[in-house]
Amino acid sequence: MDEDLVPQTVRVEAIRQETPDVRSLRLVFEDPEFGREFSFQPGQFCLISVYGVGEAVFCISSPPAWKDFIEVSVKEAGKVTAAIHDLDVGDRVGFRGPYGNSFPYETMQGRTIVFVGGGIGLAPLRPLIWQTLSDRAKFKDIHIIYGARTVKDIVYKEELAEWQKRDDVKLVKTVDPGGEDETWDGEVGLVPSVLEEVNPPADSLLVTCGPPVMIKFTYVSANKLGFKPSDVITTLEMKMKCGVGLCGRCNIGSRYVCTDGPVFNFEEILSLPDEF
Amino acid sequence: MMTKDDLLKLVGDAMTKGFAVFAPVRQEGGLLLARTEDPGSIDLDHVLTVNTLKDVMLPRCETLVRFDLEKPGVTRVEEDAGRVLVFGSRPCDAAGLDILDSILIDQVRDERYAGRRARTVIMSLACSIFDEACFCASMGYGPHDATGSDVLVLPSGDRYILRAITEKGQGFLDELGVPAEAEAEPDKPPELERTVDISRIKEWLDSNFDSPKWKTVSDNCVSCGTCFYLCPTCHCFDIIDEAGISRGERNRIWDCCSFSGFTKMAAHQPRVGRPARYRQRVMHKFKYTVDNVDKTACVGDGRCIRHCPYGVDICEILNALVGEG
Repeated sequence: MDEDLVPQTVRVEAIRQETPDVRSLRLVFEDPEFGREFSFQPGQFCLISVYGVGEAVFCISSPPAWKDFIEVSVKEAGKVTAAIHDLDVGDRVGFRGPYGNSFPYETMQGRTIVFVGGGIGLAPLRPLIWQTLSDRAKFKDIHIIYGARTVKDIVYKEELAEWQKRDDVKLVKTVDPGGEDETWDGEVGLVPSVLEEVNPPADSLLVTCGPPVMIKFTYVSANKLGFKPSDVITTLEMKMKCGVGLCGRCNIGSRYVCTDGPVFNFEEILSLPDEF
Repeated sequence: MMTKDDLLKLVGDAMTKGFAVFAPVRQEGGLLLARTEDPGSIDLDHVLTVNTLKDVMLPRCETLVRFDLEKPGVTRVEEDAGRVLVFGSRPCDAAGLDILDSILIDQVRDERYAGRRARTVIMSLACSIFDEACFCASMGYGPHDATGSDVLVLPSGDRYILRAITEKGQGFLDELGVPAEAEAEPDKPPELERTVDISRIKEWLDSNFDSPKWKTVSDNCVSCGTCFYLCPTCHCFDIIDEAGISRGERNRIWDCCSFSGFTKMAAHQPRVGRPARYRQRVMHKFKYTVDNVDKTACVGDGRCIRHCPYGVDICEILNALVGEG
């Protein structure tokens, strides 16, 4: 692969305020030919740049089947994400990608899938969930366990409601203790404990993403339930600049999250130093 | 066989043929590998320049794109695509490029680096002198090593032998009209004083990520980054935007794993503390690069030892890591 680190231009077509500090942006390529040729797999990431402020890494949070645009969901946390939150519909930003590996979709088929998301960590799972649901017959049971800090921090509310209504999806949503309000109809408790209560069969495949500490404890719970490390899959985030294995920043041990990841299973993660 | 004057004339001829020449020249800041248009300014009686070949191949700061904040899109910044001759750099620096090639061309092709490599001729000057920090032989190279060079200039008494190492090097000598001749015997390469045994370090690093030794060996490091700036193989970089009110540019600049902000994200810092950062530096050179491209990312040029303001000595550290206690 040749890499010159030069971004494409994308236009913000729509903005959805997910939570007080998370926005989803619908992006359309300015170069229609590039847009037509563009393809990616769930799990891959991109770099979005606000010129004059900088670039940052985001997973592509829409599924490949949604043509003519892509979405990213951005939590306001630092300089670049604050600038992205200042964007209006019609503004143009830079885009590089897709980069990285993707979820092992082919090998997931024929199995029960347990999606475990925390907070904005549902973003990388969302394209995979939609893809799985569009191929529903190819899978056994589908569980979705989603937790947020508080009711206000729940992302993709309409889609969660849609998944909850389906009788071929078992969805459990939860908020951290103290995060509930009088309208809350879900569980109260931390995601790993809710996973243990749901108690999915240990021969399922578990796909998780959330804050690093949640990922680590979700593995501990999955392990307790009898899951093999290779059946627990996650997607990691590290500081990245290039996204393509050149800038030397996102390694965990010898592995680069940008090119060897961002998707890893726990058999791989357990062989890496605890530095993520 | 060439005299020193012949060599410098050859460099002058290359300039006439349009090569941009980088060579060791005395400047403020010491002896630097820098652009020169005067062959007479070239200093060949030195151990090493302060800076390395990476200054030529991976500039400290290069502009990737320019943008106008009022208009959509960016303009890719193209650089001068002319041919370059690096003359008089040392074999350890050329060996550093060989390692960078494995990382920046063979895995993912860094278009700018690969382009510069393709249009640059590396004409290294084999070493007849060394100092107490040199340890290239311990790293598998040596004062007369040809790795990474296109042409190797070997001393033979008060003359020089030119040996083409690559096709590009042979093409360069042909173009400059250097006649092929029966090769004379070069001087014997000097025997270095400093040696370090790295045969056990990879195995030690494979199983000692959590060793308490990382704290003790990094005690004297102040995270200044000098070793990184002067290392022939360190290549990590940052990408930053600089903009005024209406226009700006995106620059790729060197960045160093010793700096605390290197891995810091808005909401998470996976690598906390100086010992962890120092461990990353040693691991990257002596384990991670070996795992990924089967080369150790150290050529034994010794700059990190010569220039460390606190006397941190990588050879002492490697010995301490694998040693008892």
